[in-house]
Amino acid sequence: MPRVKRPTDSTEGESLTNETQALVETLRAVASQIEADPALAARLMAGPAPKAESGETAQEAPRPTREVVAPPLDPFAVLRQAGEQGLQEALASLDLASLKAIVRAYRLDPARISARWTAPERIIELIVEQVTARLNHGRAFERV
Amino acid sequence: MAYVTSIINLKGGVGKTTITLALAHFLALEHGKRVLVIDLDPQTNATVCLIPEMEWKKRDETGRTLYQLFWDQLKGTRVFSAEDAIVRRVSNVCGGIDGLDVLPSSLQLIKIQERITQITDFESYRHGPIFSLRDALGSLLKRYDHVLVDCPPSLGVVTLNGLAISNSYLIPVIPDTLSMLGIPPILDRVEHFAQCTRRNIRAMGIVVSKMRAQTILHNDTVRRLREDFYERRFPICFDSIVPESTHIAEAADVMTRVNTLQQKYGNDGPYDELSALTREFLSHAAR
Repeated sequence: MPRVKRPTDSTEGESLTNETQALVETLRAVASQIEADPALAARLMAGPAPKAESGETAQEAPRPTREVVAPPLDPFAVLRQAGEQGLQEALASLDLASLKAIVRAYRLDPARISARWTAPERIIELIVEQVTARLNHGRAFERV
Repeated sequence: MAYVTSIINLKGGVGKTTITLALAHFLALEHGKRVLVIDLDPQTNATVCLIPEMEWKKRDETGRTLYQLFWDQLKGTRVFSAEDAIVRRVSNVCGGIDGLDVLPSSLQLIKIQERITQITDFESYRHGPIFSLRDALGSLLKRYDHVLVDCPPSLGVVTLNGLAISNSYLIPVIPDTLSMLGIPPILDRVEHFAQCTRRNIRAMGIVVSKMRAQTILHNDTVRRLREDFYERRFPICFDSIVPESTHIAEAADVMTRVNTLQQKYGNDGPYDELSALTREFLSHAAR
């Protein structure tokens, strides 16, 4: 273990401020402790401990988060079971937040052009269009 | 007259279609160019990235894809009309981009590729349907500033039809060991074809595609590509690099609604790179 350079080893030490002197003393004490304790030296050489699991980080300040609305239905399943008309009807009974939750959860608008839309019928049209297109994706290539 | 560029590589999955589509979009929307994409690849990917697949199917069933062009060559018929086959104002950006058109391919080309090959003379190129596309397009090329030809991963008859109308060609490569092996045979074959047909077809350059910047192999390969420009007879390697990106993969979906190229390709990375690639392409095309 390399020794900490003492201020008296250099003329620079003569010009140290009180704060610097205090820091030097602290580091010297830490260095002495490391020299005397091989286990501590080994732990320090090994680097920081792995990050604790989420349950052990209760002391961290909670981040502000937006309330996330869970999608109330799977539009792909509804379209398969009830057809386009059934999906239209199911979506018509939902509020704007739920409709946007469906768009977000199923990534129906990756460019987020609907982010500021406030008319539910526009969102419903987008959902039906995108879900129908994805369910039919590749149909044109069958039996060529 | 249009400046025609073929995008070719013997290897599949190196980003030919991605680069063709990106150049087409940026040339048309950011530079106001009139662009025609010719999809020569039987996989039809460029086509269905520009028009809905059901529209393509309708056109394919009514003889308005490139399948009809080559079928005519085999049967001695004259049904194909490029004027009718070209789809105008395509793409999902703003519901269609003025000045961006596509000449659609067809999966059915797979069925007749071998038969076209059998009637082609690959030594002198004197026999076979090498100039079918050129003859079919005729004066239509004059309507465009740029024509981009998305070629299949081969140098067969279909690709040669693209080269026969080309002023230059681009070679997209993934910067890994196997992708690099395909470059010298392309250079040799195109040079042979250009000599035999007395055309000047310039190797515009190599475009690095699907780059993973955190990979040592990719970084080493790009460095070697740039050095090889001097040491061997490789064409220049473009400064712009197309990254591996989810945004680019998602951009292939023509059914997604987008209003801008930033939304289509994503602001963080791919958009800037593809925009820079297009500017570089234009500067090389002007030389």
